Amino acid sequence: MNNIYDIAIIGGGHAGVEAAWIAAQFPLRVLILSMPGIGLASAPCNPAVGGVGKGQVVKEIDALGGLMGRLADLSGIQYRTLNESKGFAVQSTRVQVDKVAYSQNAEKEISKVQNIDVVKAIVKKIDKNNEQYLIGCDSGEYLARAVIVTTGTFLNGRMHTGSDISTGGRVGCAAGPALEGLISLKKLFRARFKTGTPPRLKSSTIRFDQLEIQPSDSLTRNFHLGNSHFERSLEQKDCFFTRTNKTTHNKIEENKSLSPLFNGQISGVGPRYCPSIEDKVFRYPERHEHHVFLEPESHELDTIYPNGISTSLPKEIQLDVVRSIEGLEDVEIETYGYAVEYDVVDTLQLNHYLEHKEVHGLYFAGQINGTSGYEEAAAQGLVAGLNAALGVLDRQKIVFDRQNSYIGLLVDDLVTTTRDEPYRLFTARSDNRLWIREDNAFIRLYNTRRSLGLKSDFDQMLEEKYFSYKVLGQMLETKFTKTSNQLVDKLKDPAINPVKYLSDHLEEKGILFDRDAIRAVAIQVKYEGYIKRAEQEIFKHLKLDSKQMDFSQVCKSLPISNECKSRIDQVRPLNFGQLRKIEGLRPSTIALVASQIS
Amino acid sequence: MSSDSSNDLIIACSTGESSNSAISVLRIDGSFKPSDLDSFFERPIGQLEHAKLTYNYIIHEQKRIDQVLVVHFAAPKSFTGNDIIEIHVHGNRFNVRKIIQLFCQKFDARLATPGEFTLRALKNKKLNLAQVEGLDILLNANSSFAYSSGLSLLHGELFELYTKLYESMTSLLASVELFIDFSEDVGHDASLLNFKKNLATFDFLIDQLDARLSNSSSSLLDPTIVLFGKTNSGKSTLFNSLLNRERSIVSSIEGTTRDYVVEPLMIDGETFRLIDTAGIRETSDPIEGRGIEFSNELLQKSFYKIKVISAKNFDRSEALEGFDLVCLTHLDCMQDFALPKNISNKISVLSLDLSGSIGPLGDKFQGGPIEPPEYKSGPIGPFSGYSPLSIKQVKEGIYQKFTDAMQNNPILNDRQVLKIKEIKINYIDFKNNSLDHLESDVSIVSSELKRIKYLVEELLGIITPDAVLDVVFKNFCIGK
Repeated sequence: MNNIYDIAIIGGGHAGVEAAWIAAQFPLRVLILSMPGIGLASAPCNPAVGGVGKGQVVKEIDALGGLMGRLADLSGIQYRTLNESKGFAVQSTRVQVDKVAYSQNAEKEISKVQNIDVVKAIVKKIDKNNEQYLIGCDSGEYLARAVIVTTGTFLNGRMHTGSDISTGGRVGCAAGPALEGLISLKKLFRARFKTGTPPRLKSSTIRFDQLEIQPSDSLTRNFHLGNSHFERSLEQKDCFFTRTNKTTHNKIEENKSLSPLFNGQISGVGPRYCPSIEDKVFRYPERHEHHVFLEPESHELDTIYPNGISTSLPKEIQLDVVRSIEGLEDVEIETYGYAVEYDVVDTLQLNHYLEHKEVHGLYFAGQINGTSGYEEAAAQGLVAGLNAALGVLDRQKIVFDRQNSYIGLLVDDLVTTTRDEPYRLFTARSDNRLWIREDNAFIRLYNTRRSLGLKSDFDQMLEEKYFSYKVLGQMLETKFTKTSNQLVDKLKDPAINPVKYLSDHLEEKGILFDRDAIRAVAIQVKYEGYIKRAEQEIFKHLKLDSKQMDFSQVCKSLPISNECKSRIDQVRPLNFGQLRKIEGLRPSTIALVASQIS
Repeated sequence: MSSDSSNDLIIACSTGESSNSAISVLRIDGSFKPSDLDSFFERPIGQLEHAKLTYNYIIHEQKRIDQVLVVHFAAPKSFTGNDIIEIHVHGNRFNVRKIIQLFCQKFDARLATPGEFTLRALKNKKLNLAQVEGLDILLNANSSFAYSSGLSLLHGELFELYTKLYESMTSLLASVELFIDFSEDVGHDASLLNFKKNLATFDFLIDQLDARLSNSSSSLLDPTIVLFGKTNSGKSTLFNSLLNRERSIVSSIEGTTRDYVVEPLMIDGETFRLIDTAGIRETSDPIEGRGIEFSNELLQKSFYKIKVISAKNFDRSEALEGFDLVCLTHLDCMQDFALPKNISNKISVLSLDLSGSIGPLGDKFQGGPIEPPEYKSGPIGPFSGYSPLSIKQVKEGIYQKFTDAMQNNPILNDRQVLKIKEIKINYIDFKNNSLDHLESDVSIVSSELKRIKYLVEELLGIITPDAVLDVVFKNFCIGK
């Protein structure tokens, strides 16, 4: 039996498939072990890909030869550009996907890859024997040289709906074993997190005609570089908008004692940015309404995802609460909302490759690392998959620079800070927002992709686009026309759309260029001055930030609280920048350490 | 300060050692337990209550050395954040020195370096940089104003104002982030309103601070009155008249005042330093040369600048602008003299005529009372527009300038003044050039604001991790 692989991936979610996809671009045998009964890359929560900050990540994944953008384009049923009026740097693409189609497309794309095997099985045990990993499943044993754990919320998962508690990573699925049981190689866990999901509503029972409609935007670009910008694979669907009201809030307040979140039944910490409706009502009593977006889940399902009312109240109360909302007076619930608690790995034990610092060849990616969101999971899958492959091939691994990509920012934040809640990307986390944009993802990550030395059609296309960008940029610099100075000034003019202006200008002159390159150049010219100014500040801080020293040693002799010392010992920051980001360190501690190095 | 010495056991007399007094306070700091010092006292001090004075004796070789009061401030509730023992001893200098010596021998302690307790307070996060600067002003205050400024910066109103400015900048940035990452949750109009509110707050605070900037912050901290003028123009006579006694040597030989002379001058309860400078002229004499160099430096830093000119040797090319007061002397030589027109200074006219009363060094040396001149030499023409001032009025003028300068409660630390100016300049530039982008290209606004945030952090002397998201989550309902 041929059960020997180079890389085994435990979990077939967004992190898992992305890891497999990138790893299999190298001549390696890759195995995905995925839960029976669930399709690959399924979307158990909000059926959308992208969003502010996240859209940038999807474009970055795509530029690195990843899968997520391709799948989203194949499955999109509603497109939007968020922050459209707020400037190019913060514009983000969000695509509602048909969750059935998305998973089917993932299965199809993965199955086309010769060197990926998918096995549906529950993993019981991971062991290491010399340099070989031994993966024990209910259906047999597998050997691998590297393992990537992408088990999402499944490990030791417990679901709550009112006082009903069941074990499982999501509705209708079994839980994985507790992590201590799965990997006894090292003590791995730090915390239990929780997340929640709203009830799914039967579309046919909603009075859409009363509600504000949000049609798909035909001018939002696709994610994948190789796709034409505005082509759609599936028929587009509308979203609708409604809001909660005083009655809704009263019903929730009356039943506070029945909410597992507020009666002590759930101890896991939930995300502040994605609160349940109970959280919102109790935390912001002055607000008498909250937005609810009604989002279709699939052409093939009669279900609506009501974005904004995640809840774990008892079933009968969920129905009561939902029906108090305009348009949902007669609604029926297909699946009830629930909260799920799960184990998360202490990511301080991981390095920038997402590999365990002490257990060579063991990688972690996705929600198990305490993040939220499909995009964050996929990004980590890519980082872990790429580095596992490079590791197995004995090649130089890759650290993504946090100043150059949201992927780098995400990984750096994960492995250098501890968090009390699931991590989500915000553009606010970036020091370099004017540079880390959607439009130039293929420029920013070109060199990284190129360093892999792969020669696919994708690489050919990427190279062409990259050189178009370079050539056009140089043309503007070297004043290829008499009016070049004026042209650059025009592109910087706030009253002018630089992309349109440059496109028109080139067209007038009869010069043909790649559309993506024109767009990225035009926007770059617009921001250049500001980027330089910001970089001066960043540089000032980076100079300090890149100072490397043994901080545990330094701190020993300093009057720093034991709590701060132990945080520093835990994180083991390599440089001052990492130290500065440790959450829970008091500003004055940081100033004190700074005074020691400057 | 090297890092390894920062926990040493240190001792110092915190009440000054320059004279005998009834009581002196010795302060001891470092990483120790009070009980470690038991052998220094007759009764053990290990169990002392926090911040409670207790009666005790210092003993050495079974003998009582001094009768003292001992107080223990338990870490971290002390000035430095460490355990502190303070001993109130009899304040004779020999007694103080002896006890310190004994202590250092017995416990391998060392004398604290100047400011070391404060440095420890800074390192232990008990004070931020701006506060330490306030403490410095407070402890070295020579005027009631500097004293109250120091106090205000240490824990008071100015400290709060800085803190507010910092919080306001954090909120402002948070409201921009709200606009970008969360406007779907909060709504465009609500985010915009929030931003404008925060902008108005920052506006208000920075203007408030800006109004308190004065170009002469350090000159207010140690206000000096400096007399400038050509050699033998009569500076020293004015100096003596202001002091109302002889201090400067007065003579009619040029260059008598070769160095500078300083004396404290009290005016209405405020202490000024009155400085008589060397005459500004080319010289090869090295002693005088140094004096001239010094007087140029004083010209930059002094609080009140008086220029003394003499009708006898007035040179029309002499600069009269930039002085608070110009004094004209030797009025008897005025026949051929005309003052330049359009002088904005106040002109004081001093009668220093040769036929006046006899100066201190005999009849070769003449000085004169400063008072409205008697126009001995005929009509004065160009001066008739100026009313002559008496010494009393000169003092009043100085005091007036001082109270005017104090009126807007100026900030006295140069570093802070420069930083606030920098913030203000950058902020105005931000408002003029970047604010327009708020709705069309918000990340430019964010990028530019972040630069100002760094400056505000530098004003307080802190480096913070990004606290912006915390503010967002605390104040807004996020998440769909």
